Amino acid sequence: MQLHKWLLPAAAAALCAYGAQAQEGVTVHGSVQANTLMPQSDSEINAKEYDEALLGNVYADLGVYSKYLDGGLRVEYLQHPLPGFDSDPNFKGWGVPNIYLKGKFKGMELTAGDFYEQFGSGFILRTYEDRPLGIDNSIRGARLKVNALKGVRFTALGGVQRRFWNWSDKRTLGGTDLELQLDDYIGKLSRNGIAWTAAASYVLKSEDPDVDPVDIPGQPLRLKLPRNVSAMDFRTHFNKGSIDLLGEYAWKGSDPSAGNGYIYKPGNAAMLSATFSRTGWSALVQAKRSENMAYRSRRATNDIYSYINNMPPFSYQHTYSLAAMYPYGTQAATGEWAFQAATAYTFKRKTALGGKYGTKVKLNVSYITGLKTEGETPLKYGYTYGTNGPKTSFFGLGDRFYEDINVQVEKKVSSDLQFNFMYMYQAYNKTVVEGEGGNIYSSIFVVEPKYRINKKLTLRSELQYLHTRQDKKDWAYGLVELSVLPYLMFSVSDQWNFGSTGTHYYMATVTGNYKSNRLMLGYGRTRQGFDCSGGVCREVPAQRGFQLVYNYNF
Amino acid sequence: MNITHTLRNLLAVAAAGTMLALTSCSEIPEDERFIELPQIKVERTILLEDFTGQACINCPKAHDIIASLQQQYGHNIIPVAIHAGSLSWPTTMPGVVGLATTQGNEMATAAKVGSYPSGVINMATAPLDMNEWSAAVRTALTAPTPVQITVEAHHNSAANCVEITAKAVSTADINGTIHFWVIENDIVAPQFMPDGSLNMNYTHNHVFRTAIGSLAGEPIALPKSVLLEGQEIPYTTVTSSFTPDPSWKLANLAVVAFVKTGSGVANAAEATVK
Repeated sequence: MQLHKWLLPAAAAALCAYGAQAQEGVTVHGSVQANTLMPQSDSEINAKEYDEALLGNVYADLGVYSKYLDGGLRVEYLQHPLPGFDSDPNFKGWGVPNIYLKGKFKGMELTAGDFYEQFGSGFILRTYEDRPLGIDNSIRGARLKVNALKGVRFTALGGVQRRFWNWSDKRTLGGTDLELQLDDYIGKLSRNGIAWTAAASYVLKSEDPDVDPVDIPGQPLRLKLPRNVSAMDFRTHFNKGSIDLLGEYAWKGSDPSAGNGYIYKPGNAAMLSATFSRTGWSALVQAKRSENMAYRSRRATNDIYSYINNMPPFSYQHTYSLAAMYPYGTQAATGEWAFQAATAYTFKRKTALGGKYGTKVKLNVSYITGLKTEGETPLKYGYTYGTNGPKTSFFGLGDRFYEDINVQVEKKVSSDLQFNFMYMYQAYNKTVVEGEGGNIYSSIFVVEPKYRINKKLTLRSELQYLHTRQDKKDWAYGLVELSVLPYLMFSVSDQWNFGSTGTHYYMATVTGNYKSNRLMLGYGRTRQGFDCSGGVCREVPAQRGFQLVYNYNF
Repeated sequence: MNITHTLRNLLAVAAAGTMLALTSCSEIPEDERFIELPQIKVERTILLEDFTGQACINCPKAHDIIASLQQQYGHNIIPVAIHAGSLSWPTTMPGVVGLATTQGNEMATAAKVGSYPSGVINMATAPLDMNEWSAAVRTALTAPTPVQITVEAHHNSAANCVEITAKAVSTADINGTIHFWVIENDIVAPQFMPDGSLNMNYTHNHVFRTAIGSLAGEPIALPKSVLLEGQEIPYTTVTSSFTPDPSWKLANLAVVAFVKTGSGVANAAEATVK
């Protein structure tokens, strides 16, 4: 019998028994999250009609924690998911997709069941849960962590990966990570206040090549696909005072997949990052080159749900609505050169630029291009299948995929009034990220005043303007938000396309907080677009309706 | 416990692991990446629904795959390009030749198509990535079927309508539906290409125009028949007709007919309009 088939019931039984014998020193925590929508069709924004009166993604977590043993489980109800989550019909379902037991003893930790793990920056392994994206690529199996030895952190794991409600044993993965804290062994380093780690990781994905065969169109030929795909990662991290340096290199073996056109070239990624931080001033400079690094447990998919790894994004994660209109999604399969630089400086109080309360200025620059290819893309029988793909030069920059230069100023003008300003220039290759649309060049202006009326009432507003000559042209956005401490918050907003369609995307919400409960009621329209997090994007269809979001933590 | 000693052991294990990793990730040499497949016995004609869009840059790659499959399997594969979804342009779009229809969008929703291009074979598979089509088509072609079907389509110029005659027979009792779809070839219309450029003169083939009657088809009952060589085949004949839309080119029209049961398309046939 396969490990994961008996693991679930065994873990559930043990968790129940353990919970029943809950003793002193045992804590119980959990949470409930329900995001629901009563959808309405809306032909103006292309919001479609649904058969269901209520759509929702509902999650409930329960965890029991003690000195030697932890356990937990999650119930998910996704039978009638929110718009867009049903783009893959396998997303639908309900049950207990996550359950685990974790034993801890003298720096050793053994987990059986479902778990998440990340090695280094995630170049070769990052499994995680991101509910807005619908991602949960947890591993079902076993994991051992050893922190018992001074300066040594060791992890070994193995199992099968979750894909919606499926844990196919035709695809397995295992990995190990060893991290050494060098300053624990070299006294000179610690005496000089230096923290220095060196680490190496290895991941092996195994996939039955007969499960998703690939035949050459027009030829009686089938690709011989590798059963095993290995990946390795080496990294070092140096810190002294205000300076922090990180270098990482990863290599992935031949991994023909739907994402790379079934080419056999190995992948690789290299990253250098330097940060500097001291009171009132911080700076970051980083560069990354990656090629053919889409690493999935299921090679036949080209979506976001079966990634074993995650290439960290080098684009600024915007929260302002119009600034986030064209978010960048990391191009892991084709590869990219990515550069990012950021600095933040606070002008001190009682200076010319600082004024009475000080002024904070932030500058961020992101520049991401494709890789420069040399010569024609090699073809065999008219297709890329079975070739090594196009040749690339290491330092060659290809087409620009994304560029973002933004300046933000945070200024408090009185004890009750504060302003945030932002200007942003963005170049967005919509064809690369979304599949069509060409290059979009935009300028975005944001003003965000925040005024404390009294101890209980705070008024916050956002005024945003996006100017572009491409796509749907100019947009404006306005928001007014009133916080009534400690329980209530009211907000109304409108995103208005006045450059092309004239469509208003209005939204009104009321949010209540009471102890550990949070309830948000809203009504309005949501624009069709992309929701991105960590460089990973999900297409969100247009929608209109009543929203109810409930969160509870205990 | 001697930390240094343990550390040394751990490093040795890590080194051994790395060696093992390196040996297990040997590359497949370029000349060994293809496995020759045996000849197959084609048992039926299959329907390949190609869910596509004019703004979908990867869709022309799928069209190329279809062309290769047609070259390989001839008339035993009937592709139908169903323009649908957010990367398609509707036929009602002003100023451009759009190819998406309301029925096409309904079909994409019913097939639960989430990304483009996607292919559904014999209305029996999940939406497949284009890289999976070739192997799936090969498998579908070898599946035996009790149903045989032929179709003819003639333009009646006096009545300005196309008259369709389909003949079906089965070696097992079948209760299903019969469907007639109108498709058009050689439509010159815009298409975004894999390099991001817009080809204003792209030739679209097998474009779904309409399903005659409704998408649900018409009920058909085929009694179990014994087919003996030299004896007349006891066909069940079904007729239908449609009036061509003025925007369609009559010379480029074809009719696809298929019998569908609970397990998908039992067999299909195609006829150009004569």
